[in-house]
Amino acid sequence: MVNNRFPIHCAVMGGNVELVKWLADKEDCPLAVRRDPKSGMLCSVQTSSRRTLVDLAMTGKPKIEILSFLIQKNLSVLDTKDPKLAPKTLETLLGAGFRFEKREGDPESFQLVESSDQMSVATLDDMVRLSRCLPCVFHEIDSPHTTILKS
Amino acid sequence: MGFGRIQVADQLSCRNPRSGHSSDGITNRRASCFDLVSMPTAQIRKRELHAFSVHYSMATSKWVATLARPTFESSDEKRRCTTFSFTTEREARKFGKAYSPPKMMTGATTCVCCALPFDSEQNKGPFHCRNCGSQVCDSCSTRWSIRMVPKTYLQHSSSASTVRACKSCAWLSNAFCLALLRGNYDDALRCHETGNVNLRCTFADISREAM
Repeated sequence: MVNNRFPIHCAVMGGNVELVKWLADKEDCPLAVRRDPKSGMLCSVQTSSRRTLVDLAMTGKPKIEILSFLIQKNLSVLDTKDPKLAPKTLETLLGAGFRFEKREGDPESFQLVESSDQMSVATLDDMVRLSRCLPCVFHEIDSPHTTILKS
Repeated sequence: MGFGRIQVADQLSCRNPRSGHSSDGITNRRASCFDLVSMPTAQIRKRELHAFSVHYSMATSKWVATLARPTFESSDEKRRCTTFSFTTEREARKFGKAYSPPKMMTGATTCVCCALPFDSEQNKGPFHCRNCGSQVCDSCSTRWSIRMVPKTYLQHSSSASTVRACKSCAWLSNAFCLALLRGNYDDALRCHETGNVNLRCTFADISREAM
């Protein structure tokens, strides 16, 4: 089977965050080419086997630096070939000390910020609940200490 | 380089834990032919891109990049330009740099890769490498899928599914892909500095060779 990959895919697979940043920021390689017409979320460039960048970053040992970079570039954790990977991705990110915050001026969208506060990390129970109610979206974060997930 | 090889082997083993030692050995040996020490520097001719222009259109309030069409011997269609519009100037300039087609080399009497004259019996040619514009002989060129070169490098009306590329471009493409997969920043940048690597196109399938 032909497996066509773009350089950005190879860089994500290689796991060097500097290379990913070089391609995306300095050389302006597109991370996403279109938006999903229904949800309006960015769809990442795909390999010919329809794997997305988030998929590749989660393959093998999760590459947290690359993953957080991709999410900060407005790719969605839900943007994976297999939707079951989404809660795992979220757990990986939150477990590594990142949390989602409401973006100023746009209450519907969230941005990923690095957090030094250990309390803000979502518990595994939240993640289990999230995995049960797929497909689910982050709806609200009341305070830095609680994470509310709604299906 | 040794470190890079270990990394590739590590990735292999975590992806496919059952892969035996013998297959790893083959992978390492094959991967090494794309190490940068074996870069065919003398055969790589940095491609010269056609000039492109970027201007701001007041009518559409967008930045417009104007690219030249590639030149083909067979076509007698007049050289025209294609335009693409963007919201920011930076995007338009980066697009122009990535998609402006290379100038085709003219008047070469010997192959850029093997340096043999074209007029001899066994040396058919010259052919143009569509990726860098070098004139090479038949044996020094391979066929690339059209997806491996930017769309603007291709003839508009052509329905061919492959284009001719020279061996040094093929080597560079593979070496660049391998450097990315190994996470080797310096090697990847050195490949990019040659100017003949496309950052926005797919790679050939080298999964069986390298990964």
